[in-house]
Amino acid sequence: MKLSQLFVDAPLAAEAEVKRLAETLGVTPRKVGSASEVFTAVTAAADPVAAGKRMLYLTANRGAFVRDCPGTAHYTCCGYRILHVGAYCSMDCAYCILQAYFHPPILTYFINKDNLTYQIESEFNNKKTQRFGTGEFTDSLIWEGLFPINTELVRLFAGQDRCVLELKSKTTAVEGLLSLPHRRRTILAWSLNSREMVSRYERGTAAVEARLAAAARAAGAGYPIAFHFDPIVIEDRSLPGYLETVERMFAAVDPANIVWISLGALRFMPALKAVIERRFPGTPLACGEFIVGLDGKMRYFKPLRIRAYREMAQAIRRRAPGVCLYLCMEDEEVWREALGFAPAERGGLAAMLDEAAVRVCGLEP
Amino acid sequence: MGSETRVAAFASVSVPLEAVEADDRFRISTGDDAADLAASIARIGLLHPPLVVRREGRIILISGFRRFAACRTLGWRNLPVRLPEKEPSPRECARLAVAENAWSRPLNLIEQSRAVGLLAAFSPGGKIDIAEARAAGLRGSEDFLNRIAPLCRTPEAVQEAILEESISFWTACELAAMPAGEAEALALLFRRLKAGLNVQREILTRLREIALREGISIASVLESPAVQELRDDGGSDPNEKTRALRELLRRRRYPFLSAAEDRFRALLRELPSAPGLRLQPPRDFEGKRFSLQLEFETPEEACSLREKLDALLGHPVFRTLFEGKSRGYEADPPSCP
Repeated sequence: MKLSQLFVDAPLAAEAEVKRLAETLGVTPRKVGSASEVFTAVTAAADPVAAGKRMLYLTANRGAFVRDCPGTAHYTCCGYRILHVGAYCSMDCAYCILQAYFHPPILTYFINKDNLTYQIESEFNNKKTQRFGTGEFTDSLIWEGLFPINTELVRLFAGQDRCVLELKSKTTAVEGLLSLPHRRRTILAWSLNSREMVSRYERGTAAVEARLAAAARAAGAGYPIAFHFDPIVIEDRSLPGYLETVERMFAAVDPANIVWISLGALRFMPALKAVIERRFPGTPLACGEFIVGLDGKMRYFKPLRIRAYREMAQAIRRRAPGVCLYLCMEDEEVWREALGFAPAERGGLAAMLDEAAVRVCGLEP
Repeated sequence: MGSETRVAAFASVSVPLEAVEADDRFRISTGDDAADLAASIARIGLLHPPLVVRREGRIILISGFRRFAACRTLGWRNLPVRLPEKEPSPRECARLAVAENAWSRPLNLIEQSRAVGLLAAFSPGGKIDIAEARAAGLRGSEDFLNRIAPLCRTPEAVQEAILEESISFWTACELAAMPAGEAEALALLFRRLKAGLNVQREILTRLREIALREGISIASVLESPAVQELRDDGGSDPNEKTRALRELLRRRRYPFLSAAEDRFRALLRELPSAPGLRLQPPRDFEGKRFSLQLEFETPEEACSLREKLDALLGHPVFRTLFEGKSRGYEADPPSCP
């Protein structure tokens, strides 16, 4: 991560983690009285979305560290629980919703981790299977080398038997995690795409081969693995590239060690279209055959989604018939047509994923 | 500055008309027909002499291009002019030319664009100085002035479309950012369609997205036979032509959705005719909920609809409307692009 500026809330400037980071980066943090000072600096840039990727704001999370996945109405959500440790991303994917989600977008990391630990431990006390992850509002592994957050979380989750942590990434930054005593309570997950889509739409991310090599190393260190084909971009002759990635994935990782694989076609808030067009001029990304979904997001015409999912599911099931394969934010009709069943027939999507976590990660049921 | 009286000092002199050189960089006015003005000058006289400057022995016209043309039409040998007493810099000349025009009459969009371009051309860095623009009589925000700046460099067809207001300001700015050939073709198209802003925006967006989807230029889309046929059809009513073009572009932009709609309509036609009953699929076939609307004026009509409804519900095609939705009503699911 290349940072040009470091901001810190003035009351947090004396925190050891802030001092250590400033030393590591060789920069003097700018103390701010409020977030608005940081936002002013970001919005002054010609491209605030890009500028926010080079500025880091260290602050305190004054809200909940543990949140429910926002999901959307009318489509089936996985019931994943978000650990809100930080926000935004240093990579620059054209389709990234975070470009339009935060106003303004800026790399943000929360320093008050005591609260985080407390809130997670409270969740552990619920004594039920739960899936947590840090990859909703940020890439989980971009913080490696800057903060020991992943190490702390891996150790924390290793101390219990009901919950799993999923660290989701497009990077290869697994080195610092390999030797940790994880007890298979942490799933290392990668977002995958076709090689062509990575080169066209995932600026600054690791190549597919590199991600899979990192996954193989993580699997070698005993970590359970997960993959997310999300977003699947449906363009002219795009599917063969995805099928190729499926083959590469199974060449890299033993299917028995894959906790789940998700499929999700590109969808986005209408407001993102203008951002994409402005920041990635000439890209056809937002020119797919999109309709307005029931949740107000732009989605590919349903039969196209179904066909893409079906072909990918067939390819995945040929190699891994027992793997937990699911669709991200799709309705029952798409599930039935693409995968041959609806989540409700198997107790619901959350139950399916919980079962997979129990089976592959060895959780107590 | 402010309290001190400041008068631009000019000498009124007469110069040989043929010695006056028109520097088109300073031309603001878009009107080039000087006949009316010539008639006025012949009857009333030249009320306000053109503005010239001397440069290395030459006499350069910087404001009053139509008056100059009118006087030439009248066969004048000498032209009364105003000559700054102190030789102005090129930047001051630009300011004078703009101020003379902008403070004396409302400028149309192309004239404003020329004025902005003229001021910017002599400003450091070629950028518009908003304070200078305001002093010279230009109105609007800096953003507006920057947006209109390229309009005077668009092809003639675009400028004509702007002046006759057959394209909107938004469209004009979009065309200004496009390659000249494409901008010209679109200007011609919009002039023929006489469509409003929203329709122009829709057409332009569709064209752009089709071009991006298909990896071709907008010009290629415009050159497709179907679009050309529509554009060159001189007989059709512009509204009808616009409607047909919008449909054509929609189909090309959303080929799978359009095909599914066609197949849905074809299935509807297979159902027993039932005036008063209207079956609607979910919007864009995304949701699951269909709607059935019954229209009647009397209780008897409502009762007769019941029979039609029963016939509809019992027809095998009725079930196909539901079962085929996820395939877009194709026998097999659509081929994945």
